[in-house]
Amino acid sequence: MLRLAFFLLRRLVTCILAMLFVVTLTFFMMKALPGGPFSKEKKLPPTVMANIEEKYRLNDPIFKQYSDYLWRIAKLDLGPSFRYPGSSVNDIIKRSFPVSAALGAIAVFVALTLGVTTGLVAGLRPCQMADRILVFVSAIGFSVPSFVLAGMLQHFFSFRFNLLPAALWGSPQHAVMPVIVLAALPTAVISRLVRIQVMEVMQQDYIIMAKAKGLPSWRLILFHVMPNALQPVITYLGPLIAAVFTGSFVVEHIFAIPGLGKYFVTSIHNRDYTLIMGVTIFYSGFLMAMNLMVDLIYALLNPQVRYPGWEE
Amino acid sequence: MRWKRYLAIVLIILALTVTACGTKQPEIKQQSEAVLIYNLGTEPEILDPAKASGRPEITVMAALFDGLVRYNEKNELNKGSGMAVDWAVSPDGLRYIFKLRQDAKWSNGDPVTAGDFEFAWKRLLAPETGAEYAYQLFYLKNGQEYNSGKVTADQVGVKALDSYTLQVDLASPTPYFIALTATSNLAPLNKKVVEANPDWHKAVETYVSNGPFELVSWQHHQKLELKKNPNYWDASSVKLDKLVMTMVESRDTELIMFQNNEIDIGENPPLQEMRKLISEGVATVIPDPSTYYYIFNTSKPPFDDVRVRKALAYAIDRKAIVENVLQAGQKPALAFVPFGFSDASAEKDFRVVGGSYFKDNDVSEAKALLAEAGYPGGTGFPEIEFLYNTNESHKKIAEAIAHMWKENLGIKVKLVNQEWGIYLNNRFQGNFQLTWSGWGPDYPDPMTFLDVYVSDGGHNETAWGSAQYDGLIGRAKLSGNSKERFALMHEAEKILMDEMPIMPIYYYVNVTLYKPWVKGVFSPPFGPQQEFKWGLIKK
Repeated sequence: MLRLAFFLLRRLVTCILAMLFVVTLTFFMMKALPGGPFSKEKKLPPTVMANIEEKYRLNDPIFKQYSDYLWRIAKLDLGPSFRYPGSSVNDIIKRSFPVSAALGAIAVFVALTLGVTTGLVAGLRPCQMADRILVFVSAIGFSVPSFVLAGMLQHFFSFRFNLLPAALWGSPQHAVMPVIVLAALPTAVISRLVRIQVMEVMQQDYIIMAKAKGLPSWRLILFHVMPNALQPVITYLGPLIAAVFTGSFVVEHIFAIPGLGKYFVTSIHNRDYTLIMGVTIFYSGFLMAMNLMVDLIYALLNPQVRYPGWEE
Repeated sequence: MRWKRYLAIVLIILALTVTACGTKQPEIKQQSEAVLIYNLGTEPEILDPAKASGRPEITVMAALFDGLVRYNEKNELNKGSGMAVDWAVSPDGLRYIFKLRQDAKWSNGDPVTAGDFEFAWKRLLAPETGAEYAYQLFYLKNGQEYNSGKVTADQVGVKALDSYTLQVDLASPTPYFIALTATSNLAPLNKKVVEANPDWHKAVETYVSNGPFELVSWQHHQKLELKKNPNYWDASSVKLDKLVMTMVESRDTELIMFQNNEIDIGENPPLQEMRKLISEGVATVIPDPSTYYYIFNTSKPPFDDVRVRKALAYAIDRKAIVENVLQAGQKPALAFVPFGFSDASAEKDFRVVGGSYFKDNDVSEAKALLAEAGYPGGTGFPEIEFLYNTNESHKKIAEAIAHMWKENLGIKVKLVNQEWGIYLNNRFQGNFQLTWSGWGPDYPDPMTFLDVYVSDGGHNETAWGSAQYDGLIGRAKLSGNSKERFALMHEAEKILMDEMPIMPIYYYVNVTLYKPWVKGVFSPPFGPQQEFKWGLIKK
């Protein structure tokens, strides 16, 4: 247990260093972008602009702005948004992340269930009818862009048959189309990963051995095929959860979902400095946490996997 | 042992899922209530009237607040239409005395007083407020000086003489000052509430307004819910019980929701559906007093030659552009100031009086001018660059115009697009040859257009300047005689069109989708996108 704690501590230090790097890089790249949060087509009179810059401390030297910012995030305060002055960046993340995460969780669950089952079915009986159909369907999942899929779903489910609300958020019905769009690509990826892995594992000596010993096929699949076939899926799961849980611009735009994903795009467009930094930091932190989770699950699944500092 | 590992995985995933859930249920719309659902189209940036700068914010503000006056459906500003029942102007046009109504109340029951106006206006100007639209009150005596920190608040020309009398002193005569007081930036604020809690506008619980509606809920990036304000002085005119403003950004989604009756009013339908919606009568087209035009950088060749500028302006077919590219009933622009501003005699339109300054699609004249400038048939004319921010509509218009110039004048144009912030930066610094611009009014007077192009104008990016033009604008601004003032403005516009530093293309329109049961809601030319005060539902 102590070793595990030491391992986690080591990872935490690495994460903090990586985060510092991300913050610094983002900060200076963002400041290097021409334009600012208050440059609009109708230019502001100079005195008005001076008051605004004073209020938001945009007239300080850049290194002072940088050190002030570091000091503030050390206190976990991401500052007020420039674009939405009524809200702090902490507020914006606090109210939009739960929405994205809820949608993302359902989408990941759907993608895992569907992807693993179909991949398993296909991989156990390669090149048969079911396999061919699944490969074809997953090729569609791979290649149809999400905005096309979203538009098609909206057209049929809302416009033609009026079964589902076209957009907005609040009831389970509102989640159906966004979940389908979000889950489409990961389902296809997982299905393919599992299929290939299952095909490969089935050729292994220990499987043939287990078969020869007369193991029931459900035991064979559950305890001998799956743990090995799932390893690449779990590796994929870390970045997938980080990406899907933090929302998608396209899905949120089309279905008017109050999630986090839109800010990754609009904050840069608006030069909303604090929001750009806030969502970048949040995403990086979340991604690091997910990768750590994946590493832990990995070790649980395969006792042979041990990381530096965690040797037994 | 292995099942334990599976269990661990399931638990980890489950823990993530459970923490992520838990969102609020929407309120169900009740049958007996008159509820109107309008798609605002975007999350308002802020609900503080002093800082409302975009049209969506102004639309929400107009539903929540009542200024000194309010426009009616005929676009008139009458005494008693807002907080002011009467006013008097001094002969020199510098002092206004407003008499306020005594029956006006805030949504929390407090009386609306002259002190609330004085407080709100000084707050708009205060440097520490950092309001973008502070310049809407630079007309006040010492307004600009206070905003730049040169004088103190008590030297600003606005004062509550008693609870219901407001005295306003202007820096110079401003014939359109009454109209300015209708804008949401100049709405009153409940002094007691705002002073006690500077964050009053961030939460619904502390939000206080004096207009036809009050704020019930603000679900960010989802919807705003407003209900009739029972304390409103003219509550008997307000027939809507509830007003919902959704924030669906995608125009395609908006159209589906409109067709499915999920919303009652939508705006700016997708271009590919425009023609059909207009011809079927589903979409209503209302002229918007704004102009879309191209600006030349007159500091660099070839656009330092007025003949070249004119040749390019004359050689395009605006009628074809509005009919085939824009398709929403826009009008070709053959002058800078759009339709919709009254002239010296209020019933006449400034544009009708001024007429057109050149002929649309005048290819022969354009060819002659270009030849005169030394480029007969376009020979020797350098390839020019049109700069724009990445946007489908600008691109389509530019492609059409480039084609016309190539056909008519033999001139080649390269289209260069940039991201918005980068584009603006280049435009402000004069790093362009030719680019687009759009201008809409800050106040209902042609001056809001014409004073853009004075030599030292903050928005004049053409590098063009004319002492004669500046002189005419300066004289018009100081003139107390309406007839003379408009004559001077017409004269100035003629110079602008003779020199052609800008090339007018079309006058904007607003396209709105109203369900047939929506009555009394209209899109006024100035201020909000939609006016809801007199709205009702007749199913």
